[in-house]
Amino acid sequence: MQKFKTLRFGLLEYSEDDVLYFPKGIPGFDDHKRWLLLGDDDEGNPIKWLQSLEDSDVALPVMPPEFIIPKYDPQLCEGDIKDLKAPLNELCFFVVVAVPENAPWEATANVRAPIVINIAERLGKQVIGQREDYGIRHYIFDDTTRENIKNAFLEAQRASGKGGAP
Amino acid sequence: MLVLSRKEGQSLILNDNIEVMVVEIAKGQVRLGIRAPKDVLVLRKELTEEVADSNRLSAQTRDVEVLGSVIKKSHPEN
Repeated sequence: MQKFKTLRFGLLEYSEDDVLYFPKGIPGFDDHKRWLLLGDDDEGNPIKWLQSLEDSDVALPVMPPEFIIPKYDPQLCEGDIKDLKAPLNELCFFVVVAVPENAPWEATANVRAPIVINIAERLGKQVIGQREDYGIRHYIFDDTTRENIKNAFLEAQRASGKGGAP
Repeated sequence: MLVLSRKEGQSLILNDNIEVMVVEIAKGQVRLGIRAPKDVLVLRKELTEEVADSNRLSAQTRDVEVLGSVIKKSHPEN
């Protein structure tokens, strides 16, 4: 076992078999070739993390795209699939999530460019798909859900916050 | 960089198997049609930089725990 101290998760213990290798890094973190996929199997919470092993401060929140788009089909180019050394149906997909501070209802995911992982080979790559209607900042929740979450969130904040509001 | 002039409806051939056609020229914009084998990736160049920016932004995300609990509530069947 090896040890690695991270900003977000504290001290991690991992074995070399846990490491995911991204030969080209991840865009924005091009020198970061080695990552760990972390996340508890807490039922219902699909958020996982890619923790960089090159920089203890860098971790990307990711989730399975099916939570956002049920029949997710990013139309990857065959050359990219070849790089991952497995047929499409054996690959595992995640999308990178962004959550604006104090506004979780506005959370978006990059459904245009999924992180694709060959779990057996511990090989990964972020691949830009060809679908023009899949955005880099795609809302995770639809309009109605966003409105509901926003109201509930603000209501909870008011309730727990200042009791002496006008 | 090689620079060529083309008119509407005219094409370029790259590497024997990729065709780039000027479909329309209008209002300072050129519409291109591309015919290429399936293993050739065609991207607007700015897209790769947008993905990198988006990743850097995600790495600064703080409120993910909140998001997890929100998703749990809005997907009760899971």
